[in-house]
Amino acid sequence: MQDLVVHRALLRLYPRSFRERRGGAVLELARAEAHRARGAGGVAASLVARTRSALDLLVNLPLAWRDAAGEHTHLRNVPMNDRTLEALALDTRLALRRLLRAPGFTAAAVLTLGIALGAATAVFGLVDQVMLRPLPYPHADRLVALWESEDGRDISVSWPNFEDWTARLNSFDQLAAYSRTTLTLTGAGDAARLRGLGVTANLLGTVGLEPHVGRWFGPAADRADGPAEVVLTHALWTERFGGDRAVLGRSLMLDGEPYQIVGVAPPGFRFPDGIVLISSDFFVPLGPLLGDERTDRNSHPGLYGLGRLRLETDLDMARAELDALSSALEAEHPDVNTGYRIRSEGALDVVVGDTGSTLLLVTIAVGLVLLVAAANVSGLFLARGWAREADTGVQLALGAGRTRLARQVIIESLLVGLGAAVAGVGTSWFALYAAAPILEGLPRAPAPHLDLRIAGFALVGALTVGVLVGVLPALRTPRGHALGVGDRSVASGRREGRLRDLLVAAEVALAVVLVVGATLLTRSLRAVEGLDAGIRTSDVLTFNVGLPEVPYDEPELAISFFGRLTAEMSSLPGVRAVGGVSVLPLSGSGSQSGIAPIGGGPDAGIPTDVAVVLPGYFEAMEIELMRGRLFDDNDRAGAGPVAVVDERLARTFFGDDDPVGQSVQGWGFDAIEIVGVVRHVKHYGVLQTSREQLYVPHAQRPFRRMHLVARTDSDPLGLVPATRERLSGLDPNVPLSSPSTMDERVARTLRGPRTAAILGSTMAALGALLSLVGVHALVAYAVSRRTREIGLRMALGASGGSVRSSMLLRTLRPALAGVAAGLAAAAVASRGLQAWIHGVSALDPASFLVAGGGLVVVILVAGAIPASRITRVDPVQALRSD
Amino acid sequence: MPRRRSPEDHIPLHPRVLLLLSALLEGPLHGAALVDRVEALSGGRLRLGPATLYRTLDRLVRDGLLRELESEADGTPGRPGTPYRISIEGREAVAAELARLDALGRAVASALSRGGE
Repeated sequence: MQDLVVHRALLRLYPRSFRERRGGAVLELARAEAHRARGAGGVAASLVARTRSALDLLVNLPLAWRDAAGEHTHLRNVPMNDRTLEALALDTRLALRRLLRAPGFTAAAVLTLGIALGAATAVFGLVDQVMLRPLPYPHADRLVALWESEDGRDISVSWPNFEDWTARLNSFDQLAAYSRTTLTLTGAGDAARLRGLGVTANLLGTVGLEPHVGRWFGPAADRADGPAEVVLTHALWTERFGGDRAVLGRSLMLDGEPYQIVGVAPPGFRFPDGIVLISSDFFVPLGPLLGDERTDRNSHPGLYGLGRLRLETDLDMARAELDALSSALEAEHPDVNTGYRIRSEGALDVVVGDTGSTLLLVTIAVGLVLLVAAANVSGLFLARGWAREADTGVQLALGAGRTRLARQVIIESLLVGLGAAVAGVGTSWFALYAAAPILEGLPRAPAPHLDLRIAGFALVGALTVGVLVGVLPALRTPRGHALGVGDRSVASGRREGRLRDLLVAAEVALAVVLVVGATLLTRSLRAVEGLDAGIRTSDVLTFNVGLPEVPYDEPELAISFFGRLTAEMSSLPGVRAVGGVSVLPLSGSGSQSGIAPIGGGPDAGIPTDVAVVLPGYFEAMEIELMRGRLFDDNDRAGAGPVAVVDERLARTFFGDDDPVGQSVQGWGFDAIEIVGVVRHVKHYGVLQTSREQLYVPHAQRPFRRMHLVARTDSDPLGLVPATRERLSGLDPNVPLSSPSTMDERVARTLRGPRTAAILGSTMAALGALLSLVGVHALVAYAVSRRTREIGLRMALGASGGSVRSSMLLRTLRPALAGVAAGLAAAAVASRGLQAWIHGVSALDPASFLVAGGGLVVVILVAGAIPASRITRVDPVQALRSD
Repeated sequence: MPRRRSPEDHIPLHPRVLLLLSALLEGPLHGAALVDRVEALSGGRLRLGPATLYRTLDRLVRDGLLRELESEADGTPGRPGTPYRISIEGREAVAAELARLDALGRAVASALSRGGE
């Protein structure tokens, strides 16, 4: 702990004149005292000494300000401060004893606050791990992700553009690039598809890390004839090679080519942790991977930039330079760069992504829950204060100062806060543990753990809430002696009633806001789940297959391999349709190319999502054919190039005319004939914008890496073992990677709304529960206080039923008023929720009705329970009670 | 510049002030040593906290009962290690307070002896 950090902080609150004149001396003396105590009694004594001098600083603060204001502090009249400290210690002991003597009250208060605090601490822990913690690289705050956008839509960078960035940008002292690649590892255990990154030589240096073993790539890595080297990630090194240093210098067979292992990255370094949504197993030089893309400015092959800002610049300044360069590049290469801008974002912000806004929502919700709990406990304290009015009256009559009594209430509430802090830390750990399945999809994989920051937050939060809770009851400490008059006075009764009513109304209103919010989020989730993506996602198996370049260097080999594979799969029991595609929908990525109608001018091309499909794809995904035909056996290599387009592209290029038979150009084809039109697919997700789409048969553009899809009768994943068998029957060196189902992929895209709905509902349930406890306590308390009145009324002939209902109505009025207020507040607040809800209006009447109505019912039930005890009141007993 | 006041303006002295001034009667002291001396004078009952000490010292300097000596370290008053010296006015105030306490003590003692039977 930094030396006397608390003392320094307190000193900063002092008047400047005192601080400048005496500040140094005060700190020096505090240090000397702690040192002296340590010599006498060890670390504990030194800690006590530190605390005393800190408290001394605290207590003298107002007096120092009075001195500074020039008023005469009558040194004769100021009470001795050291005695004040003793009084404080005594009061604390007394408060503790009082709390322990009322275990029911204390337990209720500590639990209520503890649960709410636990939720708040858990949320803080989450926010800290995901958003506040810096990325684990040196200078992480200077790392910036760079990409391009075309007419507003994000795309990757082209290599020639990147070279211009490197040459002409001044804001960065390092600029690197990377792109995803997958290579099949053979010859070291089972064949496996490994995911990795092609990187420029300076990428790892940009991030600022040293290799764990060996070295990074040299500058030759950026050349087309760069070396066939590989750097392993620490995870891969330990899993596959047992962490053996002797692997350095050995060769790995990746895609049939030998790569020399030159180094291992530091542990925990799974770059880029979230910037690209996969983890990587290895790094290879980028240079050799760029083929034609090296010189084609129009080709954006999934390349992304990462820069490290110079010390003297910040992101805003850099962005100004990027804008200028964007305009320059547009002017210099109007045919390819028009409408392209350079986009940038801090690396941490990219990793956090949309989760930031979801977490914000959850933070607000948990804040409301905390307020409900605070109102609850404050009400508990108030009730206790009134119940002890006779006691207090005696104390006052005996001369206790009102300040002292009020201070005692605050001390009690602070102690409750401390207890709640302990309970809260435990609850938060448990909450994070229980919520782990929901949370594992979040970036930076938060895991339940305790550290000083979280515990510190719980403590600070608890003390703050503790003070807040105690303020109202402390202020209500009675002034004069209430002996004799006692708590039967009408005036005080009315006062206490009104305050209590206000608290309950506030609690209920907050709970209503929470419940309305949760209802809206849940209905929105349902609506989104029901949206049509253009494909039928149930019962579809997906997996990747990548053919290594050796021995599949001839296109016919790839064509025949996939032909045999799809045939084998079709013969499996339970398979209804099999196909394949180069880019899966709902995977978060796509491949774009400019497509234009034949004869259109240079501006006629639009960025289109292009893909290669294996026959059977459209059937397997149940993408409806709207015009023309799908691919058949005649569409093979050597025949005229054909394409199937989506209805959007048909409409964009040809309007209402029949596109079948027309031709378009692009993606390396001079002319492709359109043979069919299919339904549009929401490729990037039901809520995201999507582009025009064009499909080409595999036989005419034989990719070596394809995603296979199979529609099955039932459990898709059940087919995996059989499929694997067939695949290795075709070639044991080609592994089956990433088996999954389309439903799973859809679920992944809905993770954000789902997390928001689940967490929001949890908070709402918590808030509603807490406020109900408050309502219940209110009614029970009112009944117990009015026992005499009830007895009187019943003795005068009123039936138990009528007394009960009138009592119920009277005491529930504030709660019901709270519901009304809450609905109004929710109507205003829900406008802020607009960003998170889709398909449902922010003022959706059904949600409001359900929330409001539900809470009214539960309030009535909660209130009815104690009210039902009224009929059991014996009027005679009641009249005698005092 | 402290205003010239008569000793009577300062009394009755707050007990803490009396102890502080008395601690300096035998010679100048600074910070930690001053705290130790006050503790000894009070029979072990009073150990001043740093903020209380310096706030009181600050006030006493302003009222003219104490003077700060320049620290050997860098000649700036108020730095850690600056010794404080009681002033003439301070001595007079202590004497006046002692006289007051003495008179009070004698009055109470005689009332005590008269009342006891």
